[in-house]
Amino acid sequence: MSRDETKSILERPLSKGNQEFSLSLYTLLFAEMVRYCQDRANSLDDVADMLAEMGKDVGWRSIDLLYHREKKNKRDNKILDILLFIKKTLWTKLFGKEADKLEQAADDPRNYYVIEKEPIICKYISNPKDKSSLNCAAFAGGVIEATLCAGGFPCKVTTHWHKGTTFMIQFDESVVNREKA
Amino acid sequence: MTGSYYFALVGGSDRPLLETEFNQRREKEQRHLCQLIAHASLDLLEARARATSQCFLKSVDRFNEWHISAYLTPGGAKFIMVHDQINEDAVRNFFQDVNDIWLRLRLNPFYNPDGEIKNKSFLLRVRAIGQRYFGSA
Repeated sequence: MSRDETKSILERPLSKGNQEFSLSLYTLLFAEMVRYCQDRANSLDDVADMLAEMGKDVGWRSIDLLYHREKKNKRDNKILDILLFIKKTLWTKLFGKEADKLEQAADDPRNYYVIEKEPIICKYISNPKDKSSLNCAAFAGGVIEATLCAGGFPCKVTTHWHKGTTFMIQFDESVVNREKA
Repeated sequence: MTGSYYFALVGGSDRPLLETEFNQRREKEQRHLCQLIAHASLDLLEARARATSQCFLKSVDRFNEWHISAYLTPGGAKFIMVHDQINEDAVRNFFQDVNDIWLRLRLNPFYNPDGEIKNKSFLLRVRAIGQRYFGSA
């Protein structure tokens, strides 16, 4: 064991965060997560919920670090700013590319959409016919939700099959109201 | 510089995760008062946070001779300092250094989101940082 590994996590230097690693390993790990959830869930909705819960952990842990690297001692206090942060910084960090699209719903000011044609985590997942409603990208939906909630924008994120995969973000009423003020 | 400093780390759900004091030369009751002051400042802290995109929110509140400075991390953790001396630079540097170890703690998979901080070395580090900035000259 090298000396570095014996140090407590508080003393170790933060990684620069530009490592790359293999897609097959990444998807294999994710496939195991999906299987783990599937073995323990009663319904397909349960599987999606469990994946989202796992995603939340990732989101909650990465937000502070990513801001620390990107814009030291700054936060985002506008909806659009934090959404762009998710689309660009967070997505690039987790999935190696920016999210395809970010849209605002025309009918409801509370709703925003992040659209990803082909989420990289689902690249090798093909749903059998009887499970076609399950979208494993719910994991990424959980990441988005935790990031927004931790950042002070309470919201609900749901994952749908639409133009590829669409993450529907519905903000709390209070978030939209304070933006107007 | 001497003075009394009370530091509290408050999690995303307004749950206190850690508290400590530096240079407390007052009686024990003071800690309860500081807890109360820190708690009362949370609303003002949030109001200030909406208006700025800085993490360091400077002085958010006052109570008699006490000043309340705060720092809000992008991930929603609040650092609150109740102090009786105006010493903005030291407080800011202190917050930034605490943030530096806080984000490492957050990456620890054995630390639960917004859970009580049981990691002893975290408290020791915070105390060491405090000594550096607020230790008696």
